[in-house]
Amino acid sequence: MQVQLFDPAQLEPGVGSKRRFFVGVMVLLVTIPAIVLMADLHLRTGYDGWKLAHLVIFAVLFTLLVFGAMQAVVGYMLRVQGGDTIRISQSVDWAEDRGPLEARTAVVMPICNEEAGRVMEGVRLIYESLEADGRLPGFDFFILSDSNDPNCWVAEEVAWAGLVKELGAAGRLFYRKRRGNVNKKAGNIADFCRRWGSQYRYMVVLDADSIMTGGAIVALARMMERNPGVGLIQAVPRLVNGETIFARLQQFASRLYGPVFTAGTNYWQLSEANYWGHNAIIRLAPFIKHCSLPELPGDGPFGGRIMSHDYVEAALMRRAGWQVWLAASIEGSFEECPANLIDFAKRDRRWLQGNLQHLRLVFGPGFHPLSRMHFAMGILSYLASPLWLAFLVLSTAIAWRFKATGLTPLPVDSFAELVTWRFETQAVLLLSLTLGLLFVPKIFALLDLRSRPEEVAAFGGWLRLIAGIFIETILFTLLAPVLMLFHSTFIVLTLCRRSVGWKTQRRGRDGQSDWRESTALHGTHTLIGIGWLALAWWINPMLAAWMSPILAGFILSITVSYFTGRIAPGLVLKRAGLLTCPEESRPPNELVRLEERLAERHRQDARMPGPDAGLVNSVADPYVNAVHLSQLRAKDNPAPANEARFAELRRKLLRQGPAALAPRDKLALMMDAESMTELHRELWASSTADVAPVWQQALTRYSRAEEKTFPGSAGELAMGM
Amino acid sequence: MEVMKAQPLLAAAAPDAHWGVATERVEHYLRAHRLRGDDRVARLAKDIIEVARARQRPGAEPVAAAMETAEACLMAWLGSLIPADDHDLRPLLAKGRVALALGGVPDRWPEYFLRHHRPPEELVRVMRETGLSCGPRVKLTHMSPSPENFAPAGRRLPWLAISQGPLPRVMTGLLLTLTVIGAAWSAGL
Repeated sequence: MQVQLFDPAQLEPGVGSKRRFFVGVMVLLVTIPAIVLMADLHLRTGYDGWKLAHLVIFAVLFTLLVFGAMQAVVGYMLRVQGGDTIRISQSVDWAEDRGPLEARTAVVMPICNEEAGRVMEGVRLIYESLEADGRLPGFDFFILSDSNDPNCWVAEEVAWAGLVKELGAAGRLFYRKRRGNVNKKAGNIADFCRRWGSQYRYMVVLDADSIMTGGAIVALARMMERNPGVGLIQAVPRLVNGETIFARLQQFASRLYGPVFTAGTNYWQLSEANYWGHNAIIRLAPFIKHCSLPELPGDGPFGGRIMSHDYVEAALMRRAGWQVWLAASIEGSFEECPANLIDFAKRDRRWLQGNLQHLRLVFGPGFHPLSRMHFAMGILSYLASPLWLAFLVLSTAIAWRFKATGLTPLPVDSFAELVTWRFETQAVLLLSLTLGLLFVPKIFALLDLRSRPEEVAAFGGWLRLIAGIFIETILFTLLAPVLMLFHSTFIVLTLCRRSVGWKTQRRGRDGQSDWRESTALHGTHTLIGIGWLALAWWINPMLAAWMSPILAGFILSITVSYFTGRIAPGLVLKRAGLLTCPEESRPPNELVRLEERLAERHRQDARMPGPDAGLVNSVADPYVNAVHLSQLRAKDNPAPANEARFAELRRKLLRQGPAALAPRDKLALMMDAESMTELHRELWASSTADVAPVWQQALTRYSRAEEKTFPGSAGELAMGM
Repeated sequence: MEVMKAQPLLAAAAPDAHWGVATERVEHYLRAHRLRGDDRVARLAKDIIEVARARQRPGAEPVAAAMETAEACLMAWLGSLIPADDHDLRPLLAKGRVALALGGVPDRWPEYFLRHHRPPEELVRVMRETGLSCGPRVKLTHMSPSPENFAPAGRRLPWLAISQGPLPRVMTGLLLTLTVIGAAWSAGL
């Protein structure tokens, strides 16, 4: 059968405008009546400034809600008709276009203090998957480290060397550690581009927890080859490997509702889509030419380096005339998600500041209107929280004032003269409409599944699927108000110039919640909830009932946050087949292999690393020392003052142990090739009595006659055995 | 068999007990290179110690002398397998050790480790071709930001943020509080 291919170069500008106009009209058709109903309710009880503010905020929030729901509706309609004909994956004849890829592609993974074992296992899977597809020769791999924790740094080096050895990947799998992590992830990628970017046509950007199958990467490269006017294609990553309830909630929801949402998103974004920072392929020449990020003038929350670089890079690429597409239907793109609410909020704090910074770019010169919209939507996604909070506060204040007056609703007719509902009927109708819109994506996602019984089975069957939606709805109802408080606090902190530190996301078992952290961070939320409930009850028990789902979220925040962030309850639901995703019930081979290998690694790495295990091993172990030295450059003309300083630091390190040195001094030594060579030599040539106990222990670990190999059991060396 | 020697011999002078400690250290060092087999390790250590004792300088610690000899032997052996720049042998040591580790040399060819025997071609090939690098040859590319990627209006945005310092913060706090009270008052709350 002849496939009707889509050529993005022939995409007429009017198509996008028509689609966006259509979505806009749909949104307005639902939003305007709702705003009229709300305005009418206020009219019946008398207008004032509070109610005007209430109405304005309602209009903003309701529009956002309708916009989300409409994307699901449009996405469903498209999928029912067999999918949108205007999508980037439709530009390739997958049955015919199976020849070799001519272009060279770099697969880059920027990392910063991540768990080395997990990073390397992810790289291994992608490498092996490409090898199995016979496509490996066109691809090189770069692990781009910005780690500044010596333990992580050395663990990465050892794990990389081990992987190169196991895969025979020398000359194809590279590891680069930057001396200073200027401009964080964006700077890390830019550094790669400056050094090696000109040698590759494309770059596939991964996150530390990304997994992409060889098939997915080849598909992205093939779409780029087919469409020379496309600068960036974003694949949609599916969330996987969640063990806690919180993580499994996210992956269940994104897996179930994601397909209709992304189909709807592609409908109006078309060639002006966005970049999410990873699981995407980028054409390097235009990226290097146009997407270097400016340092924003000034400091504080709106100045300095651009934190959320991805949106800006997509906007710059589009501004330069290159198309940016969302590849909604590419299979084999995965990522992991935070395991608990607190880690999720910490990540949001970073993203929030980055998105608020985009305020400076919304009106930047030359950007495509849709790029401006992406910036604005990114900002609104976080500003919606304080707006929602303000809406609730205003609702309470209005109810309080109403009680204080002792009046009843005015006996006036609705200004929507065609309807003559009672006050209560209209209020219930408005509430039902709002709740209904929240359920629209769920309903359309379920309708979408009707035609795919095998996928329903992979979700655990209709019964478990609906039970999962029930659980997800209840828990997200409880979690969302807490996130609202978090976001509102973060915005205030950001405006108060309390900057955000770059925290590595905790994953797997390390990411489990604990009571102390949950109590400390949610204690205030609980108190707010109790106080608000008392106030609402005093004003009007009906108000308390109306606000009860939100107030329950506040009051139960410690418990809900703790239990949804623990692995054990998550596994109970998993065993019961609840919140199950197809990737969990019928996992692709890559995910199965990853799980098996990580389990093996965890079994071997049961011991906790010593506080200075990385430094100790990079000095004591001849091979770890050599691998470390292979990454350092010897200085041609070292300054005598520096030499003397390093000599003193080395002496102190060996005599008194790593604990005697400040962290920056340890890092300085580890970055100095001369010092690392000398330390290794001096340690082995020293009498046991002349070195600190930690070194004595390090030397004697080789007294055992047990047979060791390099790198040994996973992380054996880096764990400070 | 004879261990690969590095330097001319000097007179020996330390008590045997100290040399016992030195021997143990050399054994640990060899095991740290993942050399297997107690007998093989002991024999190689004994050979190294003999050389070290013979060349020990007066006053030198046996452990230091032994390790100096062990490293010199390793350097000489690696130099016989990998062509190196005569002026700086340190990179050779690092490169050679990486090749030993990645090629699994002590595991695959233990009998040749630090020995004079003519090495198999495969061993030489592995030692010469195995290595690690942070990337292909660097070809620097210019990548710098466009002059201005934000609107002039956007430059004033930092004023949205509350200024640092106690006085501006107190003033901002007071202003916000007064605004809220004023709004409540005017709304007749």
